[in-house]
Amino acid sequence: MRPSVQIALTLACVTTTLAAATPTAVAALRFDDRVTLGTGYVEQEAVAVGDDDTIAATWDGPFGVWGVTRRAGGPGASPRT
Amino acid sequence: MTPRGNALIAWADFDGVVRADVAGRGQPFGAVATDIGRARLDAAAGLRVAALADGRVLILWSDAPRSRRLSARTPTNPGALRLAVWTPGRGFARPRVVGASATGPAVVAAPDATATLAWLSRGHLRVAHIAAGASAPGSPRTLGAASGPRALLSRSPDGVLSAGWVAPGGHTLMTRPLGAGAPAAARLSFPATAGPITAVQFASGSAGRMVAGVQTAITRGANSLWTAAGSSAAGWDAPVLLGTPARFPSISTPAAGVLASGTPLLVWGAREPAHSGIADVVAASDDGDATVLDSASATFSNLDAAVAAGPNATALVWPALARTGPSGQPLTGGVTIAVGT
Repeated sequence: MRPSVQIALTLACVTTTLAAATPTAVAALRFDDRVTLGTGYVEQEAVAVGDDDTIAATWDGPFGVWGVTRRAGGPGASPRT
Repeated sequence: MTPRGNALIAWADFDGVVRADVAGRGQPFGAVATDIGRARLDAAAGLRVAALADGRVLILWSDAPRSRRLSARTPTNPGALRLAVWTPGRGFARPRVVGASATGPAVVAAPDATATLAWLSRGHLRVAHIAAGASAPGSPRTLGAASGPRALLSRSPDGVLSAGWVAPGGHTLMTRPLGAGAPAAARLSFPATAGPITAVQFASGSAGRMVAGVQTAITRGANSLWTAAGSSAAGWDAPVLLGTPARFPSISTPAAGVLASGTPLLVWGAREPAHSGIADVVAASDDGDATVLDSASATFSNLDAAVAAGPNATALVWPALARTGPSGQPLTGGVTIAVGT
């Protein structure tokens, strides 16, 4: 099966199989507030959100473990190893 | 993240030393890490962190021999279960052994400054409770017979703590709310022809809603990916197959989390058709609400997204495709941190 078909089937499958309860819960989250940090190959990402909606993210990348904190809608601190 | 705004990262270096770094509220992580203890472990699978409501942070790991397999996710050799406690202004106390012959630990904190630990030991799921103000758990209790790969804990936004584990034989995920009067364990079974469960994620949302993302493998590297929805009261619906068995599956292992609204969700990567190394990032909740969050801008080979939610914001992190070569292959990676409010 071609991947493009498979993706479409995936979405259709999930949509039709799971019962509708809150139709817009995920779609309403646009996730437009994005930053991309070009740090090289990464893996094992982790993220946490504090009570004040501060976000802390960490990942395993070049030169060791990286970490960064930022506020939702605000500028991010520079990632550090 | 602690209620005081401290963010703590823990990891194990190549020498097996468990290290941690703490960022104060609104501050970046520092350049100096703290050594906590020495462990021979597969850090990718073993280290778990939970922030207590009183500002302390727990780090839990099983002192299992490090796997020789690159990128191994699950330690298969049991070891001592160790717990380190970080206290603001005082740093880390010496790690203590809180369990034996342990693999696949999990820890989750509660708003009342308590915490719950879970781990696999000698074919059973063990669960222990840390009382408010305590630095060690009480006596563990056994929830049921279990096989790998790991213990699961999930606390819903309305405060229901549930445990999950794979039943012996490897074809059934068991989930069970903890606490007095809780329903019996719910079973999510997969066909034996799909092979045993090799990876599993599970999240419980508000009002008992649940999602699970499960990987099964007929042979090593030939994986199937499944999702399922359910409720703690009515049990699991039949699982949905996301990716058919293949040497290189087109769907990554899903990550599970709960939106700030209380909706449980799964996030996974779906390989782009024209570029083998590029993926879409897809999310689905338990209500059929699946959506592509990011099209053709993530790297597939290492797509292990993470999701977390605060009072108003939900954050996702995935490996980004920072630049592509002439054939569309990823040349430089990075991470994307996406926030929805």
